[in-house]
Amino acid sequence: MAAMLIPPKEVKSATISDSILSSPYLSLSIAAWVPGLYRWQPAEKMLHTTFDGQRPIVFDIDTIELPTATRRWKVSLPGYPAATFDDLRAGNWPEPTEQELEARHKAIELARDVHEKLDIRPLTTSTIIRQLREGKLEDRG
Amino acid sequence: MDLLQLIIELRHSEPLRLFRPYEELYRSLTEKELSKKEIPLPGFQLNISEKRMQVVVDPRHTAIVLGDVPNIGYCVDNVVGVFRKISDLVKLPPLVRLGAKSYWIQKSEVSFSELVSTYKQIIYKSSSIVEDSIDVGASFILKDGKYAANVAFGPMEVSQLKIMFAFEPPKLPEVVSFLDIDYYLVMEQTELTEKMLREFVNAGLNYASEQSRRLVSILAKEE
Repeated sequence: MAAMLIPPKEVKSATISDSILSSPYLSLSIAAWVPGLYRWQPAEKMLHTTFDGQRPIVFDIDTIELPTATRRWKVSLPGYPAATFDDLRAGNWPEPTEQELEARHKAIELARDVHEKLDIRPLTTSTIIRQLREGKLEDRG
Repeated sequence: MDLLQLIIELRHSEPLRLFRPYEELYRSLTEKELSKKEIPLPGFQLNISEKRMQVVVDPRHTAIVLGDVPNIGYCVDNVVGVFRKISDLVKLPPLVRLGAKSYWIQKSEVSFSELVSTYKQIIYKSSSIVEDSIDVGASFILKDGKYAANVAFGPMEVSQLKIMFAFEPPKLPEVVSFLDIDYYLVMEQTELTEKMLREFVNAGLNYASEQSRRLVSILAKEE
């Protein structure tokens, strides 16, 4: 894509004309708008996005406080004090520890034992309705 | 593909009152409207280094540029957070356009020239111009219900990739497939609500994500 995207040297520091932008949003720096230099026109109506050739007044700061979910939600995962809301939102869940894996294994084994000894079967909605209508427990033999 | 930068832009139907103090003063003193809309004040741009974010408020546009984007939820959250703060200060005029422009890359396992050849085979019908070309790119306009998208993509080397971003990512592959999706909605003067903005950013990024997967899938068939 280099041939399409890299502007000629003489226009690098000039204000970009809106008429050649594919996405004429703003008078941002050229770095933001280089894709707009495709020699190609979109179907949508073009609008002038600069006014009087003035560039915006630029301010540089380190950070800013925003009313984001990151600030509203505090995550507290037992055993993972460093886990943050952003970690979980990005899908970066902490790996389970050896103790947790062992505990899960024991829980599954225990559940299997209980299931076998008590002969628990899923109680479906239709079974419940039938039992209520007939006023008796289903014969489980 | 990996999402590296997002620009959300609100395009207003008329200049923000914030930038028209002389017009307001003229009207107040003379009880007449200025014949020509004068906008003597320049726009405002805030560069926030730690968040790798730019906020731009100029007479006809309000925009946020997010670099180093971890996920879609982060984008929605921060965009809504910024616009909520701006709305606390100034009432935004009705919108005529909403845009979500995102850049995506996929690291290439083959050289630049091999990737160019792959694109030629997939995107273009063979011709002498196509065969002679040393670099290619493609642009399409796609429709998505009431939305539309200017979609451009092609192979790119790191030297060119570096100048694409408002905030250069810390590590970039040597050769990538680059995808630029400008998802937008043109409308008759519509009042902005937080719900509308949230849904638009979600829709734009989910659409772009879907297109990026589609491009990767198309390219994979030829590799």
